[in-house]
Amino acid sequence: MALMANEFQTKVHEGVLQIFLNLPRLDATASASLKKQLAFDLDPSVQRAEVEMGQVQFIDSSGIGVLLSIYRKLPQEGAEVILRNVHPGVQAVLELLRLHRIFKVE
Amino acid sequence: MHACEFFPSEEPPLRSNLEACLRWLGNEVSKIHGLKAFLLAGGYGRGEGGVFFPPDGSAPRLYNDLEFYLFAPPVPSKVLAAWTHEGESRLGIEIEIKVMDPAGFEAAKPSMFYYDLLSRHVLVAGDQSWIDSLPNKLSDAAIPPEEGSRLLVNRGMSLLRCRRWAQGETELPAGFCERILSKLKLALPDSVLCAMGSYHWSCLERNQRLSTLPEVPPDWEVLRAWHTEGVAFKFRPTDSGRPPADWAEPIDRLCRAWLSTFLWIEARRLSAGFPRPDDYAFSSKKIFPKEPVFKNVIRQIRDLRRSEHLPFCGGDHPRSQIWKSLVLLLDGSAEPEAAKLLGAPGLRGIALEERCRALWKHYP
Repeated sequence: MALMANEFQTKVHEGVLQIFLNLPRLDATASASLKKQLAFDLDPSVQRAEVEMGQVQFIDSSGIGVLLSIYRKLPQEGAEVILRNVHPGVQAVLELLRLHRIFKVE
Repeated sequence: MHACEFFPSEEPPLRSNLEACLRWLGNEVSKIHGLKAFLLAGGYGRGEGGVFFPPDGSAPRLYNDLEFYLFAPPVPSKVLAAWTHEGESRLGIEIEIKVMDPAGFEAAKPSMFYYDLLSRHVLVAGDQSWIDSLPNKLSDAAIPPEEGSRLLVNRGMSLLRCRRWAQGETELPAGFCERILSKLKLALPDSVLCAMGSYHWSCLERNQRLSTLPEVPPDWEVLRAWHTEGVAFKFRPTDSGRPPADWAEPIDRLCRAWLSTFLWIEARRLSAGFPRPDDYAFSSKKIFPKEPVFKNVIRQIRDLRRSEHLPFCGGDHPRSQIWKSLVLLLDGSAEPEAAKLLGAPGLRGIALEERCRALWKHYP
């Protein structure tokens, strides 16, 4: 299944990478496209990432992998990935994997 | 090798050590003439591998074995052993490299193994276009329902060993029982998903699909909760160090859940009713109706001289006797009958269970 461009949007503003996920599932298909886009956006000027997750109702290990790769590519000191409006099902997966200690969930 | 995740947690030293080992193995394997592909499969290949955090606070480490599949002409076992040894000493976990005939794999029937392997893996060396050219058998609905029962039989065989261990009758490596019980907690609902054509390679996706099934076996909510526990263990395994006797009660509950789930999916697959273990074990219904009778008879005649041969089973596949006897053994009510089914009427206890496992290896 091809992803529509508007299923996610990214924007870099004053060192903050903002990612808007407008899709219900962050799975292998979505993650592959998002990862390609992030390869362009995650430059050394980015200090922090904010991900709007309000539409995402399901995340699998590929989706987790993308979030981790964002975290990994930020500068080691002060790296911060903020996940906003996290769906309870996604929150449960993050807690299951103990990733709520790596990502800041708001 | 493309960038990959291996496990969903942030452990840079562990990840870079694994990547370095894969690069080394990939370079070695690339020297093989006729190499098609060298894949890391299993949990780490799917990005769902486990990371063990020792309770003493020492460095986290990989937990599961690394499973590789090498699609190439036969490789000398000395060479394989050297690669395995080097990989194990670099990573501190067991490595298994299975060499597979590319032509045989191209012709393989759809199965859970085939689906899991091709749906998600890490290509360590070789040619991605060969993988892409393989016949399309990746639909989860194409996995035969029988694969769900097969998954449970595999786990049931290990459950027998755990029960003996909990009774103090045998030794097992540290953490083995905890790992097996967690795998069974995943497998019980997974087998139902498979039976309903809803299996998926990702355990997180499977966990979500559990809420969407139109038909479910008894005690489904308990099984669903166990699945979530199994997923948690898969990613963050633990070793509680509890003594064997502490496991007797959980094992007993899992044996009962195994029986009710297995009988439910088998009844559904065979359009029959198996309310009790005996109904299944002594049923005259063919357990493998699609296997041609003449082939089954030839198989049994061929194996008459082997110690693993089984009594004639009315034209059904010989493994039907193994599945039926496993039901009786896990139920614990009719050991002499299980022994007869396995062609060893004098055997009892651990020896009988070992024969059951040996036969399962011979008639997988």
